[in-house]
Amino acid sequence: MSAPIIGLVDYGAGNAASVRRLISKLGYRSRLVNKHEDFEFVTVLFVPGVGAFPSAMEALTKMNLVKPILDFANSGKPVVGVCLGMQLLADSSEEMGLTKGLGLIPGEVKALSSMEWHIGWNTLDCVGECSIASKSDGQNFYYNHSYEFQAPKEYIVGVVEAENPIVSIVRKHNIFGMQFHPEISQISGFKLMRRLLEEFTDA
Amino acid sequence: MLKKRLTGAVTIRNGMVVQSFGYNRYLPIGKPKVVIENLDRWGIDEIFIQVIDRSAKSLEPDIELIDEIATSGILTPIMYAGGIQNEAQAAQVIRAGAERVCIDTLLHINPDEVEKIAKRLGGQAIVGSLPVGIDNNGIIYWYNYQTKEKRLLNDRLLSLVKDGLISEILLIDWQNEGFDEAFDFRILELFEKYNLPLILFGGLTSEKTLKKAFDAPMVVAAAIGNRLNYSEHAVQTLKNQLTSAPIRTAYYHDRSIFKHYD
Repeated sequence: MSAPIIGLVDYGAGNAASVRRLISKLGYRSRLVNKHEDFEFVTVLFVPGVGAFPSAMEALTKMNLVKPILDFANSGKPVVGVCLGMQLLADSSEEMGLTKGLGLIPGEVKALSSMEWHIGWNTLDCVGECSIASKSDGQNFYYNHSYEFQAPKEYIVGVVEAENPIVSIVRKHNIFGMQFHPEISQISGFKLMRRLLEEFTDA
Repeated sequence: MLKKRLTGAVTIRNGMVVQSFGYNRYLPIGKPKVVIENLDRWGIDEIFIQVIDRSAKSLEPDIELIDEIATSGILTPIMYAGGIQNEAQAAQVIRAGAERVCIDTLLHINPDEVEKIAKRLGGQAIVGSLPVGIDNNGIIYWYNYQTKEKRLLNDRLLSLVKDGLISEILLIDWQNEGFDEAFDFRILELFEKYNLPLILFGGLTSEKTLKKAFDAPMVVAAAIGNRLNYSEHAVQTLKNQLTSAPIRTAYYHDRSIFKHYD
C-alpha cells in the first residue's frame, strides 16, 4: 500500500503553509491541491482558511474546486476544515450577506452572539464521544474568529465556554471541522492532529 | 473561558534581537530564531515580532525572517509588525506564517489601505499599533515614530476599530518601553472611555504591574520583552507568579514528543 498523502486545498488561504508544516512535522507526505486531477492522489483533504467566508467561497468557485471537494467527501474520504475552513463546511454563512457554503455538515455560520471577537486560548469542552477529540477534553487551543458554526446538536463534538457556548469541533462521520488553529496550539494541537491523521489515514 | 494572553515581544533591528529603551537606545540580545524558539518552547501565548527598522528604511516586510521562523516548526501564534505598506504585503506576511499583522505607520499615512487589508484578511488578523503618551495637560497623544510628531487620536482611527476592521489595539507606552515597572497606568484610565480590546506594552515587567494590567476588563493581553530573555523557562516562571490572573497556566512538556518527529 502506498503512503498516505494529505492534500491541502490551495486557494490562497493564509494558514495553508502552517498547517502543511505541522503535517510534515508529524511525518506525513502532503501536497497542495488546486485542480481537479490533484484530488485523485489524496487520502485526507484539508480545507484551511483565514479571512472572510464570501471571498473564500468565491475563490473556491472561481478555481472550480467546489465540485471536486464535494465528490471527494461523498466518496467517504476524510475532509478536515480548519478555522474558516471549518465554517466553509456549513450550509451557509451570514458574514457580509448570505453566502452558500459547501454543505458537508448541516448548519449556519453566524456572528458570535456573546462577544465581538473570540481571540486567544480557550478550553475545549468535549460534549460528544469522538475518537479524535475526546482525549483533548480540557486542553487549551488557540482561536481567532468572529463568526461561529451553529450546527445541530448531533454534529457538535466540542464547545468552548462563553456566555453562550461557542462550537469548537463538528464532525459528521469522516467530515471533521475545528474552529481553532491546531497548527499554532502548541502541544495540544500537535497531539490532536497526530490522532486525527492516524485515524483518518488508517480508515 | 477565554484566557488573557501573555505576549512575548521580540524587537529586531539590523537583523538582531535587541533590548530597546524607549525605542531610542538598544542593546543586542541575539539571533531572532533562537529567541523565538525559546518563547515557543516555554509556552508563551503569542509572539509579537516587531522589526523596527523596516519602515524607517522604506523596506518591505521581512518575509524571509517570518518564513525562517515558521519553517523552524514554531507552534505559537505570531503577530508581525514592520514594513507593511499595503494589502499585498500584509497578505504575504500571513501566507508566510504569521497569524496576524500589526499596523503602525500605515495608520498615520494611509488608513484607507488598512481598510483594504481588513477586507481581504478579516479584522481578526489586524492589530493596530498605537504608541501613546500623556502630555503636560494630561491629554493622551499618539506618537509617530517616523516623523517624531505627536497628534491627537482621531475619529478615523477609532472608527477602524469600532467598525471591526481592526480587532485589537497594541497600546504602547512608548516613552517607558524598556524600563522597569514604568508603564503609565494613566494611559489605561484615559483609554477606558473608548472601550476597545487592548494589548498593553511598555514597561510592564513585574508580576504586580502585569496583574494590574490583567485586572482591567478591556485588557486582553500584556506584552513583555526584555524580561523574558535572561533566564531559562522565563515564561513558566512568570506565569507561575501570575496564577491569580485569568491567563493560561504554565505548562512544561517533554520535548521528546517533538524530537521523535523532527
